[in-house]
Amino acid sequence: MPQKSNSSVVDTNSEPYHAYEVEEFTIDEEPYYLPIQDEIEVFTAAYEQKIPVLLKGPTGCGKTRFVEYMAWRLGKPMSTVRKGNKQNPDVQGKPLITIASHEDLTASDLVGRFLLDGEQTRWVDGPLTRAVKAGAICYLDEVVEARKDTTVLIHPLTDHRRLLPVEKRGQIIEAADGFLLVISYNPGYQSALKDLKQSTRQRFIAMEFEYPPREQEAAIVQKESGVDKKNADLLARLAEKVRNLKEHGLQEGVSTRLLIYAGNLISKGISPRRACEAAVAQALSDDPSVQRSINEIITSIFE
Amino acid sequence: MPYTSQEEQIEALSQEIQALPVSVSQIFSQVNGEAQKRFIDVENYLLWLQDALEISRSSFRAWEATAEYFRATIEILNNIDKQEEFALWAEGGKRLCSTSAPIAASYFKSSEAFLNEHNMNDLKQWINAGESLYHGTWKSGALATKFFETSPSLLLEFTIERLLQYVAILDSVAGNSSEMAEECLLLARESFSLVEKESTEGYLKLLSSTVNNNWKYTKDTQRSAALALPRIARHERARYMDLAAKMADERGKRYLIFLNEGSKSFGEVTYDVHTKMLDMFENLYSISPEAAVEFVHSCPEIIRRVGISNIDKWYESGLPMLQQNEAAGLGFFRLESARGESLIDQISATVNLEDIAPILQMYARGLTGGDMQLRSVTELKERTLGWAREEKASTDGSNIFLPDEISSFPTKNENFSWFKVLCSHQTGHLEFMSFNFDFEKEGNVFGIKRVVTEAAKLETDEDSVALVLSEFERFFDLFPQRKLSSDIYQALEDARIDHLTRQSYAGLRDPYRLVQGAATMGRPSPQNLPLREALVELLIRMTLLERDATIPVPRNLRSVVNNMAATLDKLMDLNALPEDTAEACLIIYKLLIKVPNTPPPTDMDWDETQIGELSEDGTSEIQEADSASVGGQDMVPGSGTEDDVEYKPAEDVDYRGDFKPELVQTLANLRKGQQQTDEMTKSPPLTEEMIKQLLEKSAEIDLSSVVDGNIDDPSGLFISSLMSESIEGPDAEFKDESGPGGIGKEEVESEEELAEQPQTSLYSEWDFVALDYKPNWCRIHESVIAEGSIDFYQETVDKYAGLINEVRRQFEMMVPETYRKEKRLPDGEEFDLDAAIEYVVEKRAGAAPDEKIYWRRNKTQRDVAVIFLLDMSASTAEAIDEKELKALNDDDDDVPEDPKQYLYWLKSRREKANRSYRRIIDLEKESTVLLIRALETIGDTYGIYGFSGYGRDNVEFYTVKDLEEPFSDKVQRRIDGINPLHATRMGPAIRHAAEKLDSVEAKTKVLFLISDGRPQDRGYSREGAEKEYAVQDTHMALLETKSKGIIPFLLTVDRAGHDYMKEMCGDLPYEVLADINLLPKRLPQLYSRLTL
Ligand SMILES: Nc1ncnc2c1ncn2[C@@H]1O[C@H](COP(=O)(O)OP(=O)(O)OP(=O)(O)O)[C@@H](O)[C@H]1O
Ligand SMILES: [Mg+2]
Repeated sequence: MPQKSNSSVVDTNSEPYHAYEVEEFTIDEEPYYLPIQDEIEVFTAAYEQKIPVLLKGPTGCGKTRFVEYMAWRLGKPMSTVRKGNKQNPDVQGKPLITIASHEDLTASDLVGRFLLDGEQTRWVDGPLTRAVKAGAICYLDEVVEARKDTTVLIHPLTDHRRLLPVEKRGQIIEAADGFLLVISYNPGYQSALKDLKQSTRQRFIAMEFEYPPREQEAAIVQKESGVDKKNADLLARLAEKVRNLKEHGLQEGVSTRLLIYAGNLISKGISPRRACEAAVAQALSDDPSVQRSINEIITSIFE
Repeated sequence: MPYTSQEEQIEALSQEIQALPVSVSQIFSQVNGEAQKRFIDVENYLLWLQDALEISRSSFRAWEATAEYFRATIEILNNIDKQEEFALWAEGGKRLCSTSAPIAASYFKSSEAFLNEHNMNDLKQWINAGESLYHGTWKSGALATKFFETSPSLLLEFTIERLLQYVAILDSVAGNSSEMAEECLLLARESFSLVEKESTEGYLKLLSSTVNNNWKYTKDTQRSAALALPRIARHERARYMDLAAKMADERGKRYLIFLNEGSKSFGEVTYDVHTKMLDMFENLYSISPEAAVEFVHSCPEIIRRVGISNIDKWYESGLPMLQQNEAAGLGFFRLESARGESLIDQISATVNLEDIAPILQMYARGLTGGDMQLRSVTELKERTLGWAREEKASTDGSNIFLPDEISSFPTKNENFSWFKVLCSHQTGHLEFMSFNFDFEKEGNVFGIKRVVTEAAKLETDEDSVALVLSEFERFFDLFPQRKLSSDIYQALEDARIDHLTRQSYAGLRDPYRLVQGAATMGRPSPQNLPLREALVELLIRMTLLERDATIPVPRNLRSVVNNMAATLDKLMDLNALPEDTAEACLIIYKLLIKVPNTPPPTDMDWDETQIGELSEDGTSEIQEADSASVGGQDMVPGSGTEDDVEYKPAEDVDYRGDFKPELVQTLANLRKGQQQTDEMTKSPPLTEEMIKQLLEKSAEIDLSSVVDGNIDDPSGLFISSLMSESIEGPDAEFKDESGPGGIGKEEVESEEELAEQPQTSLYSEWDFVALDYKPNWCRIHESVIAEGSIDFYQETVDKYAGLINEVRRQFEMMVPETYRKEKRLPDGEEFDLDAAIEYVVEKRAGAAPDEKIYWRRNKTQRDVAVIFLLDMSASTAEAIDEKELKALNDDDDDVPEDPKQYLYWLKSRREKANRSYRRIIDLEKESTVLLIRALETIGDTYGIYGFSGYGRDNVEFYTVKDLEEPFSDKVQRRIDGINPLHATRMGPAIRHAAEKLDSVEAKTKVLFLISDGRPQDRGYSREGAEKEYAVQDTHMALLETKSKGIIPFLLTVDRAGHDYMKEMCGDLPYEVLADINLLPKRLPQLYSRLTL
């Protein structure tokens, strides 16, 4: 499991005046990630060529987990990377900085700002700046939610220049070698107005994530939630059926994340039907008739 | 006084008036000056004075009337068209005054209010009405006075004719009691304000019935009926009043209960049952009025307990009771009978498809991943696609048909489980691919013997090398006894589906056990069947029962049964495919065909044997060495079977319903073939020969019913829809009336501007060749669209319940966004604390601070006005799914001999009887309903219009809902009135709609046009540039719209739209919808995006 290493985490509570969502990890232990296709190879190649990456896909399908895994993996000297290899405890993973975008996220939130320090002022780097300097992977989640002025930063960073302008200090920072910008975006519920601009879009290679196929998803659910194999299989089966309802009353299919929650409940002794009702039917919809339909699928699949 | 001058006369008259009591003369002085100015003609002024004096002299108490006369003068002058009319007004007053001065005073006083709304003709009637109330008594005088006082306000509620009727009623009441009449009149305004125009007639009729029968109830009735009306569904109000009147005519006070308590009951239930309730009420009333009243009283409770859809059942059980024994019936309808109670319990356990269809439909979609439609079996008969004969569940691959209700079990849960099993069995066919059978593919469990069997058959039977329509047809061609093979196949495939379903859906096991256990009950006993049929029956039972159940096995056929059981056992495998079912079918067929179909000998021994034991001694291997297998001998009955009776197909298993793999696959293939004709690979169309073959061979179709020309028979319908699938697309035959080349060339247009006409608007048209507008070139005729049925709206809402919810939520989410805080502004309500601190800090740090440190609450409230403009051109009549045929002549008396012709004829006749294919316009209509639901949630101003027309002088523009008009029943009905008409002259329709939008205030305005093809109309072209002209004018109309600050958006369902849309819309937004079925879903999406 990823560990927050204290040294590199910004303690948001002590921020004097602005709390923004920043997570920063170095991943010491191999995160569990089950490769679905060739995503690891593609990402690795992009990283080596310094090509920024856009991850598309529905919520809870494993994008974040994938980036965490890649950060860990890429942080190792390539020769030592082998699955489940724990012989090399000293080698730390790459730092990973995750930023959740929201509509108030401004350029200063990313780049940094001056803080008051007694009678003095002190400049504090924002997460993007830190990532650029440290050669980290910076993962900008749900990028279309951010304010327009953030694209000004993204553009020079993501073409051959790899530069981050720090306007307030009149500086331009060249990205360190290992720096990679990864953004995510869920095409499903974006409005036409919030679509990514082509000039932004075309600076990234894009990787499409889907929910894993049934067998793999069952394996993931089993591993992550600790539920038994039989129920994990049934949960994956349920997911497949419920996802058929997307656009037929449901906006989104059920995520792997929710399946894991259902598995968690089951392994805590909640009956599978009840667990799925809570983690799937109720979680997905407020419409009683949709809930009822999902529940009927649940009661068909689970005894 | 002809000898004196007018001045002298005026002088004299004025002095006389001045001499009247001061209360009069004072007012005279006040108005005289003005009056003198206003009467243009001195004659009229003179007359005014004379009339005043005449009034003052008409009785000794006329001073007040005179004063009122003066007081009203100026206002009356303002209200009349011609001053001569003034004398008429005065005349009426004089007449009244000669009978009663106070009445006249009241008349003068109220007439201004009256004339505000009415003319002089009405005035006469009004005076007469008031006068008719006066009968020389003091009391009647008071009533007439009151009448003049209150009637102008009453006339706001209804017409003068109705007022006269009401006066007649009042007059009869007054004949009995003036007090009562006066009280009624006092209450009238309040009561009538509750009664809308359409109901006034019935209301008045009820009142006059009351007066005739018991005048004492008049006031109560007037009030109760007025309160009752709004509780009744609008379209039933007249009938309700009629019924009450009828009751009032017959019996004492009961109708008042009907009006009071009865209407409350109606108020408690939804409008949609009112018609039914009144039907029942009327019917009961003819048997027992008392029971009828009790019935109404009980309705709300019954509906609560058994649901709306079940009220018929309850009623129909009570009716015969009432007919036989009034007391028993009364108890029943009063809900005081034990039998009634248990009946209600039973009914309330019934599960109706109607209620659960949306849930099961979604369930089926989840399980199959397909866009399944859940339909009632009764709909089958009404659809073009004939299918099952009986009321059995079935599927055609995209629809699942289920029975209307299930009530076999005592509780709702059990009945629902039954439904669920029924539905799961049908989805099982799709999920486990019953219809994907491939003749040459090897299954996972059995080998593939059918290929050699076919080869053997071809050796002996040369002319059987025929084209087949489906893999199943090829397979069933192997069997000389097709019905037998079909029965075996169905039993085995159903068993395979049930097995897989039970294995994959553990939660269904219990309900399955319940249903399967019940399914064997009522089946024919094997002991009574001819032997081969008995064995088929045993096979079916083996597929239904648990392994520890027993079946009777004929001792001398034990080995056959054992082998059958072994084969079935082998098929019950998680990996089994339909190809395996086919192999198993072949094996069992070969076993059974050798058993003679003779009635069982009476001395035959039957052993009750556990199913589980049977397979142990059996084998699923066919004895290859058998010489009979050469040349297909093992496929026909053995020798020595002269006393065979004809094989009768086995009875269907209820819950498994009808399974017609051959037909489903054939249909699917034909559809596929249809699609391919669009591309290069043309599959051979269905030939007459093939259809004949199919008709003759398939065990799934009963040929006799088709040949008899029984078009109601589902098989007949199926054949006809098969035909339609195979016939090449309608493009060749069915053309838009306004299609290119048709219109536009023939007639030479006159080149004149159009003249103005009332109720129409003229618009110019852009001529792209001349680079100029043709002024006043097109005439728009605007009218409200004719109303259709209200059912369409409701049905659509039901049909799309899920989508509506989704859309509504999507729309609801749009609203709050408008209340967002806007930050980082150079100016605003207040400092943004964060930004301000940042500013200060940066300033201190010496960096260039960002001065945008204010925030403001985003006051941009949503303020959107939108017009939806629907294409109602003839081409929207085109079918979406099924290809439509050119309609045949109406007089199709002579039935064609030729089978193919015959099938055409069959289909067209049926279509005429009941058009059930879906058209483009139907989707436009449905989408409109969805949009309305969505728009009503966000409160945008919206209008819905349709357009079509024929020629430039005749562009029709229909209002479905006007921009400012509130949504109502009427609008609902008008949606159904949307129908395909003529051509598509888009330009003027767009201009007219833009004009409408221009006249309303809104921050965002959108004109949303939905069409199904390119614009075209008679004369909407120019020589050498037929299509171009229309496109260019439309383009210009869109640009004009844009320049008015309106966002135009074009959505077309014409897949060829890419050709011209780009040119027509330029930079303006548009979309070409790839699949018209997406319209209902896409439309709200596009709209919300456009206006966010
Ligand atoms: N391929 C996978 N291997 C291992 N775990 C996975 C995989 N895919 C999904 N998961 C599990 O699913 C959970 C949700 O995935 P994650 O948080 O990465 O989703 P996401 O795509 O980032 O969603 P969002 O768009 O909502 O942020 C993870 O916590 C992980 O447990
Ligand atoms: Mg994530």
